[in-house]
Amino acid sequence: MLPAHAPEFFTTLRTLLGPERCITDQGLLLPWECDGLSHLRQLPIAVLLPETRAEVVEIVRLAAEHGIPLTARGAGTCLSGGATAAQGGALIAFTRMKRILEIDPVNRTARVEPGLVNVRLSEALKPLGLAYMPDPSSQTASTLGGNVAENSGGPHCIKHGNTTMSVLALEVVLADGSVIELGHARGRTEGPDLRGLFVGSEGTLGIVTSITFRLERIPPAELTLLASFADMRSACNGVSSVIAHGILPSAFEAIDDRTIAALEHAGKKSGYPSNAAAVLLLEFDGAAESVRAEADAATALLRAAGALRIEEAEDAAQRARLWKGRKGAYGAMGRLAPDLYVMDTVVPRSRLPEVLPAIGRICDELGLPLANVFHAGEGNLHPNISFDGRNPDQVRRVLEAGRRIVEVCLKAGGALSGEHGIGTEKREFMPLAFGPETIELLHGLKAVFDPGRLLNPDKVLPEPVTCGEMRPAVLRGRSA
Amino acid sequence: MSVDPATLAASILGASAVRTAPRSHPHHELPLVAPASREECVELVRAAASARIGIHVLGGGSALRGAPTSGHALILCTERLDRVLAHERDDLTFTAEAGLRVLRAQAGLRPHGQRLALAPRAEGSTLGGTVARAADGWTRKSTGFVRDQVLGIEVVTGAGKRITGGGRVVKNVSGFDLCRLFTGARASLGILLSLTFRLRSVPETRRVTRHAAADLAHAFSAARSIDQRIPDAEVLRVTRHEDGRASLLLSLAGARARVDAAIRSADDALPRGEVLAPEALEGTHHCVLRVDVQPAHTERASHVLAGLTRALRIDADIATGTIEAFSVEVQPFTEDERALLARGLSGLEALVDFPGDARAHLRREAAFGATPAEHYPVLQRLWRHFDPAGILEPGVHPWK
Ligand SMILES: Cc1cc2nc3c(=O)[nH]c(=O)nc-3n(C[C@H](O)[C@H](O)[C@H](O)COP(=O)(O)OP(=O)(O)OC[C@H]3O[C@@H](n4cnc5c(N)ncnc54)[C@H](O)[C@@H]3O)c2cc1C
Repeated sequence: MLPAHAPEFFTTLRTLLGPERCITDQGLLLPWECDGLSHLRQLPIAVLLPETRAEVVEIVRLAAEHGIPLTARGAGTCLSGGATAAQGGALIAFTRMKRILEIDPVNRTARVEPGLVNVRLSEALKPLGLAYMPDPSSQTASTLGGNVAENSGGPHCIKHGNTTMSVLALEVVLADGSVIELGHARGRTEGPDLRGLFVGSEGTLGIVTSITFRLERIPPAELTLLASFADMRSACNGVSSVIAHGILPSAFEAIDDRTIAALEHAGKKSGYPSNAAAVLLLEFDGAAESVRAEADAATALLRAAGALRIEEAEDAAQRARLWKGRKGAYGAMGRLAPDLYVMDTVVPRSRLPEVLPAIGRICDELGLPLANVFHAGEGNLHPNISFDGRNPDQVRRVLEAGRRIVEVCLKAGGALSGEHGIGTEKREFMPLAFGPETIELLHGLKAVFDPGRLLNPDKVLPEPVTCGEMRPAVLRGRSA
Repeated sequence: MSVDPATLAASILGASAVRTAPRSHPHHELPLVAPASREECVELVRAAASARIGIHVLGGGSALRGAPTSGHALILCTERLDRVLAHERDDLTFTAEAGLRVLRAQAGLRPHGQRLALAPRAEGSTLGGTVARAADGWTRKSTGFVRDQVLGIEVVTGAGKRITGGGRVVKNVSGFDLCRLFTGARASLGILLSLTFRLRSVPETRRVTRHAAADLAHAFSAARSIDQRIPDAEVLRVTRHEDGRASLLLSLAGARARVDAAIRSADDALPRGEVLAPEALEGTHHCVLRVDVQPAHTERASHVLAGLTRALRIDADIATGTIEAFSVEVQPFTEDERALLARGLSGLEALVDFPGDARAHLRREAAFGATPAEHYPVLQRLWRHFDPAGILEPGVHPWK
């Protein structure tokens, strides 16, 4: 149902954007009902497609005037429900704001609009010998605006850092329609790091209209190792040993036997040994000599940890062969059931050997199929649970598993999320990680930037509650 | 009736924790108090907030010279908050109280082959002070900004709330990034009580060399050529010495095979250099002027600093665009010097900082990259949220 004052909002917006960029037809809105967290759905009242910053400003002003909640949206690949509209709210989608505004090869910076798809930037930079490092597995679809809002990570973030380490400056439209530039292309600014505060704030503090990134030179050499193990515990010990010896690979991924089985089931030839219970993928980048020295040292440590077999690849084609299984893993898992719950939690690396079996037990007890593909070098887990969202009992068990997995990880000294954010998925878990004074302060921080609670409301922070009372996680199943 | 700051502090911390500041301290007229625990610190801030007593935070003694104070204030010294709370060797993380000196922390980590990617400026620089001032140093080219080293924080806000941000793991995107918000905020929003950092391994080997150059321009051209050949040099710094000589400092660190190869590459491109002890990097110096520009402007900005008549040693980092000037002289920069800097740097979008000189800091004109005035309303709202009574570091930021 449209709010009573909405007609005026829509008339003005239709004039501003034209009918094709102001979608209100129920049928056309359906594809925008959820993001990558498919069991949480909310139909937006409209989808607005600005092409310029001035249009974004106008939309935000009008929304403020009419009290309409706004959720920014990139490609909608978010896995924590952050890109789903608020009840009675509209989506402001950045699909048409995707220009590369400037590439400065001397200072190694690039300024882009938020709707640019991650991999498009890398493609544009390659001929210049430059690279944008953060590489979420969704990089062929997800947008840089979404990456900034989530502070996304990726296989190569262990060395080069999550998105925030590559963000120099942001142009942001605040809730009152004013425009502010945070950070600076030179990197350093004085005072509190508002740029840093906005990265990862999931569109709840402001709407990003341009981003200046720091770029790297394409490393002169790269080398990939694939090590297979008879059991996950030995693989995890291998991870700890390599890291503890001060070796910093540019990627350090782990894949378990259930994922390998899913790849086989999907007919994708991963080439991973079928007798392996776990596979580690390591990559090294930099000067040729350092890459060789680090790979040799890592090989020795992985052997000592019990690796069954270690393969090495230096040329691009061979390296791509070793990565094939990792890159195809999500596609393969997607074929096991209609829905896939991709969880994201972090534990200290040294706790992996005890936490992974604990997660396995939780899923076994609840009768849920689990497969693990994760950023082992950072202790960033992705327990993946296949399920059917049309089955309320399965949804209930998946949510139960989610809560128990979060509890196990926090108890091991971990964090709620390493890269997918809190969104709606984990907002009610925030009090498990932070005390009441912190939560209250975070609510106040949101109000500093968005006093009317119109920018992506009901995300990240738990619903405010009175003294000590905690609400249970409110998640709606797809059938609800 | 207004409460006397010293009496209030003594009632919470005991009389022995309250003393007068040394005469050398910029606010020596104020009582100096040193809480023995984080709990005491929180209690003190709460009491000060309700009595509206101002608090200046003193970490390693590098407080801003000349910062305005209200008489109704005290100096909170974090020197007794110096416990190591956790060192997870295998996970390369380190948690300690904010008053721990960086050099002491490094000394404790060294036997484990680990280190913090921080470069303290003074013997007494503390973990909290380094983060609050985002004071980076020689490690910045290889390991990045101070803001990228902090994984977790525990803070008491000006409202006396004890809050946490981040955690103790190397990757974390839970909620708003308070760690970065507090990096560089000085103590204007809250006082850092403890921090968790990511650690680095001490490199297997390191070679530091200094290469003489005919003049500043030649030193820059040599630096650019090394930067092309050895992109991951640990330090690549052009220096203009006090006597006008110029040189290039190069540090190569990492696995032995790699460093050996880099040395061969450097030797092909540079005149023979003098090998320095690795400790040459760690030296603590008194920086009187810092300029940050985009890398392409480093040389031009360095020439502007070299045009000042006072005897300065100037270090320039072409990878990060940071130029720092060191001097034994701590006289504030004169109006003429400021005008020369403003003229020379105009158009370079430089950020100019006069570390240690609060008056200069507070006068931050637009030519020196000061926080734009359109940020003030947001910063003021932020500040009122964290510090509603306005007790923390009154006067250290122009917007406070
Ligand atoms: C198969 C698959 C693999 C994935 N792999 C990874 C991975 O390896 N690492 C990782 O970190 N994530 C991964 N993700 C999650 C997801 O791709 C990332 O979170 C990504 O950054 C979202 O980008 P998006 O463009 O799809 O943004 P959306 O999903 O549309 O939005 C994400 C958030 O950003 C906000 N937002 C979008 N644009 C703006 C803007 N202009 N201003 C302010 N806020 C904005 C939204 O409101 C929302 O809160 C994966 C997802 C899938 C489906």
